[in-house]
Order: sequence, then C-alpha cells, then structure tokens
Amino acid sequence: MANEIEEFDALRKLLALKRHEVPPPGYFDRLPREIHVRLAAARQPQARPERRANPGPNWLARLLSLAETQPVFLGSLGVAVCGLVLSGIVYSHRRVETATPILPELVKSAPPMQTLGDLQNLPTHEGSSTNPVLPYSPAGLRFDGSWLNAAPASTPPVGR
Amino acid sequence: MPPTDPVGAEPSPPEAVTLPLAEQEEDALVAQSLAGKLEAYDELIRRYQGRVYTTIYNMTANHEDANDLVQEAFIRGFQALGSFKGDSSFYTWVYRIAVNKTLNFLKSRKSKTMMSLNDLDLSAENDPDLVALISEQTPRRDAALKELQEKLNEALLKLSETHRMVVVLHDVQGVPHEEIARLMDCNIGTVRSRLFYARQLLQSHLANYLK
Repeated sequence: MANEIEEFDALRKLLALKRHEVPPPGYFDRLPREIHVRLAAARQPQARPERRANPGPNWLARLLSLAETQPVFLGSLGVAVCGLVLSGIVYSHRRVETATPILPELVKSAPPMQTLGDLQNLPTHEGSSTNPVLPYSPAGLRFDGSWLNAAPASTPPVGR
Repeated sequence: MPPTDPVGAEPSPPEAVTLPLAEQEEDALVAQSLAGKLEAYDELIRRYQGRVYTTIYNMTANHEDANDLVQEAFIRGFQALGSFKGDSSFYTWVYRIAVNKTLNFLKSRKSKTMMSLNDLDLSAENDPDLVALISEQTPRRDAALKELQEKLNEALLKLSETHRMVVVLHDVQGVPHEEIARLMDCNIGTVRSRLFYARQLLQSHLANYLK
C-alpha cells in the first residue's frame, strides 16, 4: 500500500489541480433558481405545447428514470426478460422434436402418387375454373354466328 | 393605545420557533421538500451542488454538459423523493443519481469529445501539492497551469467511464473506497483494482509531467 502511494504520489498531486477548477462566477447562485424553474415547468406538462404535440411513451420514461434511481432493479428485470426469452426458445425446440414422429405416419396413409401415364389417361373436360380454354370442336360449335345475318328493315327510316 | 381583541375571539397559539433553512438538518429539509416546499429543496441543492458539479464536470470535461447533468440530477432527485427511504443520506442518494446519469450520458456521447476548461480558483496557486509539482519536482518547470489542465483532461478522457469515475471520486473528490462502491454499485475490490489500473494509465499518459 505504501509503495502504491509513493508510486502515484506525483499523479495524485497533479490530480489535485482538478479540485481548483471552478465554474463561471455566479454559477452556483443561479443554479437553484434554474432548477426551480425547470421543476415548475415539469410540474405542468400539459402547458407545454411540444409535449401535447408529441406525447412520448410514459412507461419508457418511467423505466429510464428507474434506471437512474434503482439500477439493480432494472438489471434484475433484464435478467428475468432474458430468462423468459431463453425458456421460450427451449420450449419451442421441444415442441418441434415431439412433432416429427407424426410425419411418417401421415406419409404412409397418403394415397399413392399418380404416374405420368395416369395423368395422360385422364378424361377430357370442357373447361373448368382452372382451365378456361375449351377444346376445339368445329362440328359442334356452340356459336355458329347465324344470328349475325342481317335482314332488311321492314319500316322506312324516320323522316322519309 | 394597544388594539383590543374582539369579544369572543380565541387567543392565537404562539408561533412555533423554526430555524432558518440554512441551519436545519438534512432530514428536516427532505421532509419539507416531500411536502412540496421548494425552498427547502433549494437549500439541499445549495449544500451539495458544488460537489455534484465538480464530479460531473471532471467526468465530462465540459461545463455545459455538466450544467445540464447537475440540473437533471437534482430535478430527478426531487421527482423521485417519494422513493427515498432514508437508509442512506440524501447526499449519497442524489450523488448516486448524478453518477448514473453521467455514466449513461457518457456512454451515449461516445464519439463527441468536446472539452472546455474552467478557470482555476485563486487558492490553486497556494496549494502545496501544486506548488511542489510545478516548481520542484517536474522537469518542465515552465509548464503553465493551463497546459497542465489540458493534458490532465486529455489523459482523463482516454480512460473508460468507469475508470475515470473512480479516479475522479477518489483522487479528486476524496470519496473513500466504501462510498464509491456504494455509489457505483460494485464491491470494494473492484473499486481498488479500477483505481490502480486507471492510475497506471494516467501515469503513462502524463509521463512527461510526472518525472
């Protein structure tokens, strides 16, 4: 200990210089008044327009202020949150592990897959919601265009 | 002719003799502040503003930042006075708020290193430690106090926030190890090791001024 004091003796003397640094004259006379004003302003938050225009999250402000007064509490809260997240991750992994054995049974019970030949032998259809294109069949056209044949008008145009 | 009391009026009770705020105990001032008496809180501010300011200023090396943080610490102290249980002194409690505010501020300010120098008070020239340092032990006898101030602040700013806080509290403010441990929420061994490490770093940074 004595060695340490001797070792840093010059440094401690130099650091003593810091004790003599003082703020601008009159600063400490003004400080209580300035704090007073800010306290009064903080007591009437609804009177401040910027506060009304942009209300911040109240719980966040409370949490931050708690960090300043009781950092241990906030630390333990952080540990608890981390623990919850970790347990959530572990729990979700366990659920996935228990779910995997069910899959092979589902595969076994599924109908056999159709081959390409089976698909080619499928009956033709006349259009569906998934295939709106109708097969071409000139003999059985549903639209023969007969009603387009124009006939002469039986009455003269108005005004003649 | 002396005024006569109105008929039927009860005699007023004698006024309780109250001490001026400046002479009252800290507990009494805290109780009055809790009751919303701002004058009592002003007195508490007056008592501790010097020490709180000096610590924060030495941590930030900037008067404007220190001013903001001192104000915020005392405002927070007033707002949270309801949670003050009295198991420590009000001074320790508000000092702790200031320390935490300063450390949080410095962590968020990482990139900015604006430095401003406050003037030295007149008693600095009579400080035997300083006189010895400048006129006898140091090879750079022509080093001005201003230059020393700058170099010292630069060296302090090179330390981490926690190491700087320990040096400022112990070597500048004279706060004992046990109190620093309470203020910084760590054990005494950590305080001692941080102090030793910080002094070693400062010594290496200020080698030219300490030979």
